[in-house]
Amino acid sequence: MSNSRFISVSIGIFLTEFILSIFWPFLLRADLFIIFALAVFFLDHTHKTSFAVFISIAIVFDFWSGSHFGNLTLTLLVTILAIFLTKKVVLIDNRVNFSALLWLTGFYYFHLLIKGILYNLGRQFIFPKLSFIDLMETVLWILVILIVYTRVSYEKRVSHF
Amino acid sequence: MKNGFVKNFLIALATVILLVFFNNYWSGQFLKNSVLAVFKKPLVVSSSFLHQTKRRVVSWFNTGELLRQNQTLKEENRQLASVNLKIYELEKENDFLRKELDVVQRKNFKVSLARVFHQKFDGQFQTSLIDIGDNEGIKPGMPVIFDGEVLYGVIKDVYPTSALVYLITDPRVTLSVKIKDSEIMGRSRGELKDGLSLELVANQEDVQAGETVMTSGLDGLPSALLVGKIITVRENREGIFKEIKIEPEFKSLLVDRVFVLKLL
Repeated sequence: MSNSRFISVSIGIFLTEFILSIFWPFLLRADLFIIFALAVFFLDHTHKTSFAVFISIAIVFDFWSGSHFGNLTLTLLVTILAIFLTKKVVLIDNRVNFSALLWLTGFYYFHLLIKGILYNLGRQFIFPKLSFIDLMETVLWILVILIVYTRVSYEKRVSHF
Repeated sequence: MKNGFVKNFLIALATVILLVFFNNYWSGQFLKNSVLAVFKKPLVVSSSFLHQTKRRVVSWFNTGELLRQNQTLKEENRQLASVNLKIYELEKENDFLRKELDVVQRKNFKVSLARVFHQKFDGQFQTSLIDIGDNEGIKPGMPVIFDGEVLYGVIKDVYPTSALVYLITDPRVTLSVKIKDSEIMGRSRGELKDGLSLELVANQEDVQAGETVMTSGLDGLPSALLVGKIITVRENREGIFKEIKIEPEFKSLLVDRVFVLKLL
């Protein structure tokens, strides 16, 4: 995915969250940007998104995260490190399919766990909610983001003349 | 992106750690405040516009209900007018008695009007950003309320021109509360979309669904701020405390303008 598309989708996610938080806040049970960032890192095989852009956008979202600055970015870094190490050990293809949905759900919950640990280091541990409804909503959002990712990352190939 | 990942990762980690130290511990939230200050104005305008749109849309669908509510409110208003007169007389009498008894006056509060310009809801936290901060003398721990003294949240972080509010439904917020018209006290904890839970209420206490929960005033917040209504009460046979759920009062209100209570 190109940098410009990554930035465009991120802006779209920020605006979507902004509007949903006013009209239907009950729909927001998952952090859409984190899901998108994990999806890009997990599935993108074109390597077109610059790491600097990826982290810069994460830092911008960090300012609006409602936690201490750094919490979101550091958690995201730990999670993408986990994805990187998993991909070193397990052979995973880069296609959007059911297994990608399962992996992303797992990594999203891993991210929540790390976020809970990082928050106020040792003072108060906020364990992610593990109810069935929360899980279903998270899976639904991951599905939506995967559809968006598929649409946005698709590039028409033109043969060389 | 994965070409030279380890090198990029280490550079990013070092940069983020530096930024965290610069912003959080050295410059007094300079970076965060700068970004919030730049986007505050357009977000306040957009937020206000969207809230008004929502209000209109909701009112279109609820015209019949609004007419009924209007009728009820008119009746209540007439009753309150007569009650107000009695209260006025009682206040005069109360003031006189306080002076006579040399009792320390009840703590006074100053109110600052603020506008919510960003709300963040996810599976773990619920927070808001308001458009006043250090410039208006806002301090961490101050309560944020609506009209009618409905508690919305508590100030957590203060920046020069904005502040971060933890909503009472955020799991990081615990409040000392009591049930209206009774001596039963407990501790409320945010449960995100499920509202709040009321803890430390013994099984033998008589608590009913529909009862009003308000702040007790024992944890630094003013007393008698409306928290919500009890929706379910379950006796815990394995433990000694009841399992009580509270529906927060602010959930039924449109969050646009709020007030910060400043202790004088």
